[in-house]
Amino acid sequence: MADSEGFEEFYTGTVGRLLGQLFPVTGDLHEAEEVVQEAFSRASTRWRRLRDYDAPEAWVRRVAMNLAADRHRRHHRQIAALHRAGPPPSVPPVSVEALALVHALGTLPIRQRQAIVLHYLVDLPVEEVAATLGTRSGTVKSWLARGRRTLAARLGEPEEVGNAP
Amino acid sequence: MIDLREHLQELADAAARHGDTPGPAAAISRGRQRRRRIAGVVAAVLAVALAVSSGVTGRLVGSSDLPATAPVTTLPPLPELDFLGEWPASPADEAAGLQMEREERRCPGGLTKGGNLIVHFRSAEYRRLVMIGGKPPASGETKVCWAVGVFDLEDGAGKLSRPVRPVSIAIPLTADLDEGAGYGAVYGQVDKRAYRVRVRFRDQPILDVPVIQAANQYLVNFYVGLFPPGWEPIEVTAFDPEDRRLAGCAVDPSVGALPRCPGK
Repeated sequence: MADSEGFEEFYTGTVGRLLGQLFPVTGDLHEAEEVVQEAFSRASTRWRRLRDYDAPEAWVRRVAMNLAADRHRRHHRQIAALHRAGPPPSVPPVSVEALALVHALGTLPIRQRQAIVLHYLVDLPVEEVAATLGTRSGTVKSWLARGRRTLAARLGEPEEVGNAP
Repeated sequence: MIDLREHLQELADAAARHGDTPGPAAAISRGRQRRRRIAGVVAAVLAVALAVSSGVTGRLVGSSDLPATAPVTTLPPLPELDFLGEWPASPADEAAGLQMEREERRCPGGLTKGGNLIVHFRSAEYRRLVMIGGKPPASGETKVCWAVGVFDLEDGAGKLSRPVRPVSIAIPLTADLDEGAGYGAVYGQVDKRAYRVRVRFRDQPILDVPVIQAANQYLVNFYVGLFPPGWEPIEVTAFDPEDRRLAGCAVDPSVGALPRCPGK
């Protein structure tokens, strides 16, 4: 069996979904494309092992989330400066409410953003969010609660957005 | 109240529709390039190590019959470890640390206050995160309990190279071997006086590993050296800061350990 057998099919079947999940985390479509592509490139080098996993997509998602967090930590000052002085981040056409949500998400710490996306978009239970982010369930619950409170405040909502986990 | 799920889904759908990735072939090609780049870095490091060690080997042959306290005057400078600061330094670091903590709880008497992560550092060459954790011996105890883990730098996946096991603090040098995907590892505890641990391989250059300073209550220090897979360590020797030999032992690869440690 060729080392890359099945990779193309896996990529085609999951790249859009992962891109959609990473975009709210990065707040920039190009950045999301970059981390997703890098995560897939890493998956390709160990595909022989990954293809036997129950959910190789979860592995790629976790690597992409880690890459997004690493890049955020490494470059957040430069990115913030660029955003102030340069063009706005790349955002696909969405409703006014969704656009406001992108901006509000961008004000959250990266871990809170990741927790919110994994829980509310990917629909992972708190325990799986914790496993994906390598932390405890209690910490994830705290991130979710704080994230919802901040989003509500940023979006001018009278109470927390969404529903508690 | 806005519907968080609904608007997140709208964002995700829009990103999936408008996002543009170069495709699976580009991902495979990029993966290969990355692998070649890493191999190039490893090759460059090995070339430097070879150049350094070829001179050192010659010197060691001449000094092998000297008494144990004879200084070895011209050992090469030690590589610096890329220590991580406060734990957790990353999600991968956190995941690995939690695995270490679970292991440390198996130390006799469980994990007490003061038993924790001794050190964590990363190896860019091998894309690994290395951790040593343990429990200092209580007053009057003669054994120290510790574990070593080598994890994936990107996702924290991996295993404990050495599950916790109490070892007598009187042993001046231990060495165990481990091999994972893309790396080999040699590690152990070493006398507090040690400054460097030298690993000799069969038909390969010498690897000098800096000694990791553990807190005083551990009563011993530690070392972890990573090397390319397939290399076969045959001898491990500890030196003090004046390059005097403290202890040494020969590796038996068939058992993956050093039955003759501590050295003579």
